[in-house]
Amino acid sequence: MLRRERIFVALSGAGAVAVIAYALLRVVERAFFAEPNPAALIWSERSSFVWRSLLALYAGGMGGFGGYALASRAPKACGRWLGIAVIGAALSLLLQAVFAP
Amino acid sequence: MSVEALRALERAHGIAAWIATAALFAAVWVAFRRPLRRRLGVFSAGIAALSITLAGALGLLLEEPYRARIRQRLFVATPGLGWLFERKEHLAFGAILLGWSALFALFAARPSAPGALSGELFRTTKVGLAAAALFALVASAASAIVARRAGF
Repeated sequence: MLRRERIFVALSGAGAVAVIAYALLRVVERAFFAEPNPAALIWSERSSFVWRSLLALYAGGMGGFGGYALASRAPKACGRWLGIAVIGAALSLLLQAVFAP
Repeated sequence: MSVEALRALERAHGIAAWIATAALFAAVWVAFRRPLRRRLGVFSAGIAALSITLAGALGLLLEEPYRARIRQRLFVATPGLGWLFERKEHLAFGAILLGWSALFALFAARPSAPGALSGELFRTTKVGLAAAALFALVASAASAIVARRAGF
């Protein structure tokens, strides 16, 4: 596998990991750090959505390094794992959006 | 930002979101065609990823005014719509990231070296684009529903 292809696999993996991280962060937020009732909250200085997105992107960046390492050491396995990661990302976000909005 | 500017931005965001949704569905159609034309696939997925990112960037500009002017009002009047909008934000994030993820998987797939890896990367592209398109469709529809009831 060429270096260029490994970088693209890493970037693709980073996107999938970021989505999984986003869903997990939101579930943890809803389960353990309950926000005030939005109907009673006039305004909040910080946007939890923006912060969650940034944290998820950071986690995705870390996942990208993992994806690059996997593509370097096990090129055959990385395609399968990338597919599993993308399916996992879509399912986790869907479940999170339904059950922990 | 003035109310007029916010309304214009809201309209632009809505239009950009629907264009991006259409671009994602076009990219899905191209990706599922046989035989897959890689260049056309890269072009359509690239346009889709760029357009959904533009729509997301416009939405991000509206995030702070939404929290300040609409969110509480929306949750007081119709909590169901408030939660629908929260769901829409999650799905929009997923649509953007999965769109890019699919595009990069397509970049990584080499048609000159057909094999298990290339086939799996093409499958990943299809799944990623399909999920992104569905998320974008639900997010755009949810936005339209909420915008009919509450706007700037």
